[in-house]
Amino acid sequence: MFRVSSQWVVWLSLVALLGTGCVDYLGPGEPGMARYFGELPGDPPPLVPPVSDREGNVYILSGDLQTSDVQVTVGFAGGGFAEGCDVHEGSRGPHGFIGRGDRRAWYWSGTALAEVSGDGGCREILDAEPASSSDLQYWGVAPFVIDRPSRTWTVALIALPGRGIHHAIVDLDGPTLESVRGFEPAAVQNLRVLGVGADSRSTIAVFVVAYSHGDEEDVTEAIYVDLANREVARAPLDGMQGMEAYEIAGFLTSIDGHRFAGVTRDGDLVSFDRSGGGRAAVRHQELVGVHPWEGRLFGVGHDTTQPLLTPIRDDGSLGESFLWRASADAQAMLGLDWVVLDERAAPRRQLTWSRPQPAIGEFPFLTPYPLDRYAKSTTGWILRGPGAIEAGIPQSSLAFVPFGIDYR
Amino acid sequence: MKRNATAAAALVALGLGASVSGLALAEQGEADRAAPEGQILEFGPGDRVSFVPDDRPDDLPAAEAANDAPAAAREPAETQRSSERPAAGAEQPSSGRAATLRADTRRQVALRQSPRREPRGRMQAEKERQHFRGARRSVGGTLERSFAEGQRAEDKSLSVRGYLQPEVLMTMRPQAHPVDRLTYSTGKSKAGIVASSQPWNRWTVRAAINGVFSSSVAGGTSDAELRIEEASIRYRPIDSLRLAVGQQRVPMTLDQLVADADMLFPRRSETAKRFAPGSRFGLNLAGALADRARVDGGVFWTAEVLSSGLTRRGPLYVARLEVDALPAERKSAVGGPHCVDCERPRVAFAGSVSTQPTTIYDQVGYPARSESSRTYAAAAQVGYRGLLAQAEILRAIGSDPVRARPDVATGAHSHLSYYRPLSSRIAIAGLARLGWTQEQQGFDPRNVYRAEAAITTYLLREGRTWNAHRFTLGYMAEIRSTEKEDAHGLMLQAHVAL
Repeated sequence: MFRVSSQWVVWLSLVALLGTGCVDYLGPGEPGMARYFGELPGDPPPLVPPVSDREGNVYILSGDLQTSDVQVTVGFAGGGFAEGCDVHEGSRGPHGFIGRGDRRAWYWSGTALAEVSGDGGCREILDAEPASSSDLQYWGVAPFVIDRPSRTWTVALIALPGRGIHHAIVDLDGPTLESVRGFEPAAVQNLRVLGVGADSRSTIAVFVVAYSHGDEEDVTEAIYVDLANREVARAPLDGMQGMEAYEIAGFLTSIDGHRFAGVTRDGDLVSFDRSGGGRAAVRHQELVGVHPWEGRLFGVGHDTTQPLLTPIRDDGSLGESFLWRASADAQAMLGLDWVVLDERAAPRRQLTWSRPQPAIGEFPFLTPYPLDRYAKSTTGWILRGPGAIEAGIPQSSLAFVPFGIDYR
Repeated sequence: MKRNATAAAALVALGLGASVSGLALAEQGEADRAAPEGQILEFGPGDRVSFVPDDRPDDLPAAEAANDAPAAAREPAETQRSSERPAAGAEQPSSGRAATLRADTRRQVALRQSPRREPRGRMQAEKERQHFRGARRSVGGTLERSFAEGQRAEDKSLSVRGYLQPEVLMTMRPQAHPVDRLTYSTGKSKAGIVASSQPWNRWTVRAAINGVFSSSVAGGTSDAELRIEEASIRYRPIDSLRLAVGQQRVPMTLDQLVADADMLFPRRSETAKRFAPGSRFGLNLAGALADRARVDGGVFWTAEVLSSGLTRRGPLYVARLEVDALPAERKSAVGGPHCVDCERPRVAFAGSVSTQPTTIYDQVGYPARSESSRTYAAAAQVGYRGLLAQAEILRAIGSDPVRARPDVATGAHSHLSYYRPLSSRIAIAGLARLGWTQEQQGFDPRNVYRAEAAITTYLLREGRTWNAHRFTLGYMAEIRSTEKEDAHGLMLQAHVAL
């Protein structure tokens, strides 16, 4: 029997501990396994970028503001997909996912708010005002969710028929509204929500609204609200008169709760801080959205040939554009044959897709929504495979793919 | 080696055997204790003697040696050692009746050399043996019943030991809804049974069942759960090796290696729970290296149904090494892990690693994909004159080529405690524990900090393990800094050994 020295043990332990640092993440533009989850009408179908919850379930929302159809598909962390939810109200379609929890996600569609659970379940959040049971419409919902062990909530701009517009805290677990306060100034006309945004780190939400009040026509403001539904700032915005409701695409983003930026559906940049800001036209590229990354904001877009990144300066103006390498690399990967895991039904099997295309945007990762953090330096994206025609309607085969990403 | 065996017997004799490493114990001794083997880093003597089983004859019943504990503990160490030396140094029997007779002889020799018990003739020896059997009932906190009257207890006996652990818990959650801010409950009140038998020489059969009962006074709800912690068969082909097969605790983290009945704190470390596989069905081989190290190697089985209806199956391989870098040199054999009587600090290290390659099967039953996870743990412990400090760092990495989302978590916890006997019947201990876990480092890191403080009073009834009965008043805090929420609890817990 050999003897064990303490040095031997120490070295062995060190070797074991050093081995703990090795975690493999996808490199920028590197794809993971594609998971084929189903077909949707459209070529390409309208899709919102997927989000994931803490457990690893994936949520895919199809639909856009111009259509009132919405469909959520849930990809289970353990494998497999299920159609989860079609809750919707109003004439407009889905605005997007507003947040995710341990094993659920919430989306805002039309004037409805819904929860999708990781097992595919679905629940509409408070569709009536609790006291009067009158219809409750979500005109604006902050795209963040405060998910804590004892409470889960967000802040919203709600419309109560006959009682006007109010700011409120929406309890996402219980059927309650809290800290309800009327919109100021009172007795406004033609109130429109142009866009919403949030910074989850500083827990500041912003509602960009336009309204008429007294002699003032088309007043446009950004209203800053904290997680307790207190108005912390109100910034006047220029150059946004005449904008239609929800004309800011996706969500406004921020890295500090101070400066927010987004893109209109026409491709103009909207940027402001608590002292003010406005809309600015963008030349030489088609600006799609604004993404936060490691403490900076980047405008993402493309020219005729390649995806572009454009840093947003501290004053809200656009910097110099350059090639978005991760998006370009991912696009290059799409030119190959792909092995796709067909998870539509058991038993799962592998298929081959030849030269799939991004189902969202001209290039991968181009979206007006902040990208989901699927894993460290990884986001999820949707690919479009072989299509078909059913009853005269084109159908697209769709697969979820994790991609490594950075903004260099 | 002889000295080590003597020390082992002395420790067991002091009733500390309830948590001594199993390799040091004769199988009968194992039957009398509930602590899983091998821990040197949590509540338990953890002395180097636990790694020196070679000199210990199988048929020296540890429990019987333990019967001397109450008396021996009050005697000078030299006297105690000399009284046990003949037994420990005796020739090892083969098995069966011959072994029994030799064991009888050794016991009588030992008894004759004991300054406190002077057997007078065969009848007196038999009386002593009966007395010991009765005393065993209390020494190990064990209710032992011999079903084979007239046979030796270590041949075929069923040992049943149990405990009751009621508690009351008051929880405060300042950020919760008003109705949930202050709650009262029975916490996780528990009761447990450990049954053990040695049907043949070198073979032991064990079963441990825990029942957990919780009831919310405020909410009017209650819940109960029955868990089979262990159902295993153990075989020792040679003294320095032990094979265990069946449902058993996976030898991974230091906190997990302690039996419920022998925990220092009212509850297991929540930090360690994140990384601990718990109790699994499997096979574990434990061996002693030199005179101060112990190696565990095991393969366990995982089979669970996921929320999506898929099934995960696969083996879990575990390796663990424990080393007494600076063994205790005790003036006597009291003190346990706190080294109350140590002449110098006792220092121990442990490291463990596990890997779990698993296959995910779809609802139909076909393999869908594979995934793997690794867990690492490293721990250190220092005990000296009643003070015990220990710390452990843990890290888990799960990878799944299909999901491409590594499940990474890191945690650490440490505790500081001071144990002080106030008299031969009462001891107190002050406990403090800090823990930190960062979950989902590969996704969106979430930090959780935990702090605990407690005062425990031990009732050192003669003939019982020193921590047989205990009452604990404790405070617990959980601070979820990422989620900006915290909770606080006050607990009163009693632990009564049956």
